[in-house]
Amino acid sequence: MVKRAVTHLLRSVAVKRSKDVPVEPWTMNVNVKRPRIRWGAVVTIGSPLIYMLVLFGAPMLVFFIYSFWYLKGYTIVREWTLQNYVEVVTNATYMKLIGRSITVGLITACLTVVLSYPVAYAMAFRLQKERETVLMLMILSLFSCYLVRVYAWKTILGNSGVINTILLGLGIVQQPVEWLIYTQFAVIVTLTSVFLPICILPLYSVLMNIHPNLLEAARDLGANPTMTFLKVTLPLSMPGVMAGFLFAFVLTAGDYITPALLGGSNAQLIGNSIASQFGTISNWPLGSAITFSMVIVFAVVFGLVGLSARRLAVRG
Amino acid sequence: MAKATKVSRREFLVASAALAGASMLTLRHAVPALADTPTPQPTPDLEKLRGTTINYLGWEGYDYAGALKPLTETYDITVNSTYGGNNEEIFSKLKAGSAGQYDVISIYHGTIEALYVNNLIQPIDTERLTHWNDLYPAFRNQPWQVREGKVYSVPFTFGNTPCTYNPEFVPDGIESWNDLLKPEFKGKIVTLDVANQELMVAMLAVGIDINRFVTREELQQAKEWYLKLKPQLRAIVPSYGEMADVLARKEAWLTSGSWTAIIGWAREKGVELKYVIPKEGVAGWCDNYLIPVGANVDAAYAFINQMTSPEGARELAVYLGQGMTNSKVVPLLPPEMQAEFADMDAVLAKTPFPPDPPLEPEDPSIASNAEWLQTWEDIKIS
Repeated sequence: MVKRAVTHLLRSVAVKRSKDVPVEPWTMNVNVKRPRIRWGAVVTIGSPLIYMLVLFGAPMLVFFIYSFWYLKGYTIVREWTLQNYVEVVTNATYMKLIGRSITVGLITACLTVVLSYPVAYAMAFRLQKERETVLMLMILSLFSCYLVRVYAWKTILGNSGVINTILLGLGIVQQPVEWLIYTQFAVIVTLTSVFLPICILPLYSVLMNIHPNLLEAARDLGANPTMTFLKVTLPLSMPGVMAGFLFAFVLTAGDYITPALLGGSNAQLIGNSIASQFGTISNWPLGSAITFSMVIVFAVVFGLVGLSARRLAVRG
Repeated sequence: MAKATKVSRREFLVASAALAGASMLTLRHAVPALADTPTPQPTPDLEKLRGTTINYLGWEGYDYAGALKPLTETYDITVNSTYGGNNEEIFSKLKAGSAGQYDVISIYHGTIEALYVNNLIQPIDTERLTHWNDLYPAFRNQPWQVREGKVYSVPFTFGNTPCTYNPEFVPDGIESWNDLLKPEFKGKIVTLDVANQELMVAMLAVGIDINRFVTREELQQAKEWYLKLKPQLRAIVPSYGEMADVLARKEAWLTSGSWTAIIGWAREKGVELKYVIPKEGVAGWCDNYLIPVGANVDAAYAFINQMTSPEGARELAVYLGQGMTNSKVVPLLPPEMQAEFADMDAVLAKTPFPPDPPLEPEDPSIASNAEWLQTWEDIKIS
């Protein structure tokens, strides 16, 4: 079904039908114009597609093949084996890491969506003049390097950071609060803030596309604002919510820099383990196996989220 | 006479401004760290490198610009550095296919075997090393340095991995590695994410001799000790720079194994740290410069010769607070460092260079490098 949808989409974009030629089979129209191919659209969609296939798809295929070989000493033996996948499934530490990554990912994604919805809603429905400024500010925040933002959070959450200084200064605590940093809390807070703009943008675009007539109709039919929101706005915005949620989830569950810098000794995620396998341990086959196990996990999560979102969504 | 040397007023002003500017420039650069640093005489090798780039890969700090100044300024050479947070990162960058990308690398003595086995380094012609014969004899024939009669690395500095602490919170440091397990240090210790250094600390704490290959049971004992240390940790950081940052922000009070260079970095951030060698001893290490396959060898030899020269080594020694392998550097050191390194035999006796675990041990009871790394991963995840 996905394949049909994609083919239909591509064909509708790439091939232009002449407007003045009816397509009904019973018309005997001898002046049927050949459909012209829209080269502009083909290039616009084709170039990133080729880029992704060559620079992302092909290397991932190579790694997929690696995951079926194994490491002996410092050389990779090119013989087919499933031992890496068996290792991932049977080793309690990898299962624990995958579980932890999914949990942290889901928490962060939920938090990000919950925090970004009001912002996107305000931008779409409440702000008229300030809308573009807010949008610009958000995009501007994306200009700063990811690592710089992680370090900024170190300064905020640390023992002598902004939060602790305020708490100590106001006398609310006598000792600096230690669990703000080098814990899972720090990882979740930092990644939520980093991925907020990435979540707000699709939500904003979806909310902007909700025709105000629909909301007016709901009001005319007697719905109060809360009902309007729950029954009309929210279901129509589900595609955006799903997109934001999945972005935040995948990016968090796979992250390894923030856990390495802010996670302390007990918040390592699966990304750290994959990084070690590819780096220190030089065990590319095992690293690839862990990677593709995570791909399967993500596919399962996508499927579950997609199913539940479809139940909540309304075809606009 | 009237026509011969007629200089307009403007020309004279321009010339004298240029002269003033030039003399100010030379004055600024003419106050070297050492009063009588000789400018290297232009040699054929170095002239070839004028205006080029030397690509360095290795530990941060070992490309210290201050030590390279006579080379970079006189010959207008740029040093392009890539850093690795630990030895395995340096190794994997090379292994990932970088023939020709780097001219000179620095790495710890234990990783040299892996580089050699993977054909990533080339033999060094000691004839081209100006200061080879000034190195202490111990640094010219170590087992990890010489393979099949050829020298593969130039040791330029050595040191150990002591415990660094903040005297503001820990006035006297620690006496034994087991002091790290004390309840008052809970959540106050920062360690580096590097397997062999941390596991050797654990082995020393338990009383295992690290100067020979270690068995699996001993590795397991080290793991159990480290799991007792884990609740005491504030963070396991990915690099020494991070470690200095954590100590400077006073998030942690002390480290397990560390590098004395972090004392210099923390000092820049306003915190004065000290180091101590606990009674069980400490693992020594020796950092070397090597030439990878595909390097520009002229650039590599120029770099190495500058860094192992007495003047260059002196700059490095002061910046890093470590011992240097060139015997001629000791008289150039500041007085407090001279006292520390005056008796080199005693110093070398205190810093053994333990072997890294073998890649494929011949004796099956010996723990292999892979097992050390996997043990460390298990410790981190548990």
